Amino acid sequence: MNMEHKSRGVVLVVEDDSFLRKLLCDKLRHEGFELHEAANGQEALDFLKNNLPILMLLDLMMPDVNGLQVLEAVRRDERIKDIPVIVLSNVGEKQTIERIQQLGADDYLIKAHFVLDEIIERITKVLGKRYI
Amino acid sequence: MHTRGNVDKTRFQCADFLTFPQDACSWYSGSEHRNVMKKTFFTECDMLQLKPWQCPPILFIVMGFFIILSMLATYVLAQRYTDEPEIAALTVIFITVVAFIIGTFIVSGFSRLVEAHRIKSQFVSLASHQLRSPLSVLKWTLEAGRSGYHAYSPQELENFMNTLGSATENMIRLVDMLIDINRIDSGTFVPNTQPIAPGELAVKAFKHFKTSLDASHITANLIIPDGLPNVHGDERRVTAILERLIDNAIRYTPAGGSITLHLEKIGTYVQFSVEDSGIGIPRADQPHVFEKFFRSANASRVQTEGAGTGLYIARAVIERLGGSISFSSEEGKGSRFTFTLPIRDEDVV
Repeated sequence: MNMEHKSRGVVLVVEDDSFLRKLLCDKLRHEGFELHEAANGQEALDFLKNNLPILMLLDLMMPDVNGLQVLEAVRRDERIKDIPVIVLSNVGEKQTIERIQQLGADDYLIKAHFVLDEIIERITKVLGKRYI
Repeated sequence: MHTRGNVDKTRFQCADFLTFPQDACSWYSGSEHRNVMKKTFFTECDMLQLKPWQCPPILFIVMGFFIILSMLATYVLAQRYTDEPEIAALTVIFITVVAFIIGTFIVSGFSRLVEAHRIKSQFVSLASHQLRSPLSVLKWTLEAGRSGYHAYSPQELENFMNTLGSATENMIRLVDMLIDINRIDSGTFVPNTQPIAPGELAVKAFKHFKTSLDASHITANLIIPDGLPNVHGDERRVTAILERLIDNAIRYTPAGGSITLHLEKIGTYVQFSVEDSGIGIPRADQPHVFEKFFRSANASRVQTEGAGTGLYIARAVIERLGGSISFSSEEGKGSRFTFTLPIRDEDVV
């Protein structure tokens, strides 16, 4: 694992299920990542107003502001549009996945298909691509 | 006779599966099914859930025979009435009209198949998404517990066990729900009937939500008059419906609001009503509340989890038990769902 990526800054975890968020964050902290947790899309957008995370892990189905809306807002904003985004959801509809690709997500993972170790691998891969 | 036995067995296996017997059977029993199933046009139409007059393969054969017979008839008529060409012309017009009518039935049959395919896709998509949520909880929790990368306290581990239990219960409920939907759609849904004590059922359902009512800071009221007679019902399903209504009320009522479960005897029925001071249902969405897979926009904004199937199943169950279900709602003020169940004949006073 490349520790250089981890020391570059904060990973923003956007997940409305508090239990899944805790498991994911425990694992990421164990791997040495510095984190900021957001329980919904609005909290994520509020954080992004004054911060520039090195990567965002984004759930899709969330109350009020959903993940697609967050992704759209990020890609529209010149200051934060280059943040790598990994979408982490259980939605498997073709249209949604196509929309995520159009909006330039770096990766799309179905939660039920991946264990936490594999998610860490994907994060490292995306960070590696961006920071090499 | 032997073949028929096999066919029935396969159909029975498939009847318990999800929506559409043909695909479900192919998947469920695989090559065995293809070997034992003697395919005829009628069994094929039966599997497509189409009546013979709606089934394109049968209609094509009917049209083929009709055209051949019509051509022969035209030939005979044309020979017999060589000096009256209008007879042949009228015959051709008649054949064309009948062929057009059969063609319309064929197109309508194909439209039904396309619609069935659309509903099936929607259903599979919904089922997979709804099942993935508890499955990801199971998968991640097991990994967290097994790998030992984090020293969880005994309290946290107990919480893990409770979460695993809830996720498993969720999946069982989802599978039951999917089977019920399939049975409702295929017209094979038959609820059990047994005497139910409505007061006991309501208290049990209410207790089930005590923790979430407390956690949500919602005031709960339970009004049960004395001496309510027993009703006819399917205890497991009626409990599930009442719990669904209470759960919806909690989900869509902000902290500080209230929920009232009220039982009363009205004529030869007992009425259950669940009233909340929640977000309500927009007027434009109200006609669709009992439709399958429907969720109102304001509900989806507040709660992402939900399949839009609970009220669809509730209506089917209550109506088959001889009762009725309805609601009144105002956006921003709250909703009131009521359903009735018939009192057992021996208990009618």
